[in-house]
Amino acid sequence: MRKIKTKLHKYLWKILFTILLIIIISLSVWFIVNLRDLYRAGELRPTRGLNRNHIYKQTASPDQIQGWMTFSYVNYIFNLPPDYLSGNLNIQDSHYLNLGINQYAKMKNFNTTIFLTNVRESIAQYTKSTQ
Amino acid sequence: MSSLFQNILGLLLVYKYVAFFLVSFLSSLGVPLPAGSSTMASAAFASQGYFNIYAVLVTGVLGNILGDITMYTLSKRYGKKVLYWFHLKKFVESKSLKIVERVENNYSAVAIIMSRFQDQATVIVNVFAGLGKMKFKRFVLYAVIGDILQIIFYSSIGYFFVENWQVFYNTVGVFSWLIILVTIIISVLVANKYTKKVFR
Repeated sequence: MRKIKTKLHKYLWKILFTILLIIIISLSVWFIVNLRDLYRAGELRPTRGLNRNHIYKQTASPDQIQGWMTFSYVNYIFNLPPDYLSGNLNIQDSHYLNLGINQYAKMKNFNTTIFLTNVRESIAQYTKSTQ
Repeated sequence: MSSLFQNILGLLLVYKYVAFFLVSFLSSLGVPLPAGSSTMASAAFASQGYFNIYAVLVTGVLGNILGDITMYTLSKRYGKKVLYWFHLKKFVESKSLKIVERVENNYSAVAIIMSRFQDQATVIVNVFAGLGKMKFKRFVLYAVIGDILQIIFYSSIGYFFVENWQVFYNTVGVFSWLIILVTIIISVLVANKYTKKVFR
């Protein structure tokens, strides 16, 4: 029994190291496969090149708007007139530009999902009307 | 995306470089803030023209460097006193700690530069550098190099992948926790072996 324990102890580090190596290789393979799948799905393509003016894709979609974005940022990305969203969504707060969409919705006790959808629809209407 | 990170993104959009500087600085001090992800996001905003990329790079590097120097200085001056105050005298005077400090001093360039790419590792290396009284000039030199490389790395992802930076955030976020676990296991194994070699 003692001999078995001594042998086990002697090879313990090698066993642990081998297991660790297998884990690292498996994680690396999983990570590379994950990146490859994302790349094939078009989610990991660069959208601009080294040349600052070389942009592969310039269209912003209203579906990309998320709750953490501020109204000021959304106005900038979609080239909206400063009063468009405040008029369309009946926003009375004069400081709304520096508020996030979710933040404003919580302040006014609105449902954040519904308010975000309303924002997206307003912007979608604007982009359609200007095309 | 965590609610903490969503709040940070909101603050970045409102307060821009001030918010980004604070996130970088506080993250280097050990506050659990997503500095790498914030860098990616800020660079993505710069790519869209909402930020200036040069200002993002300079702010990020400055925030990281000042945070690293502050953590190193605090650790050097008060590290051991704080540990004694928490009744960790055995840990302070342990051979294992001295070995870790010696290893970090011998491989300071690799340890400091590589650790800049992971927030928790940055803090740990900064603390041990201070505790081990690593030379200030050497620490600052490698910290600056590491911080510049780190900011360029994360900024490149945000700047060139723009809308897709969030995909990187989700993918790398999961993987980095696995990497931390593996790194901890490797560190324990190496430190254990090193201890046995020195004290045979």
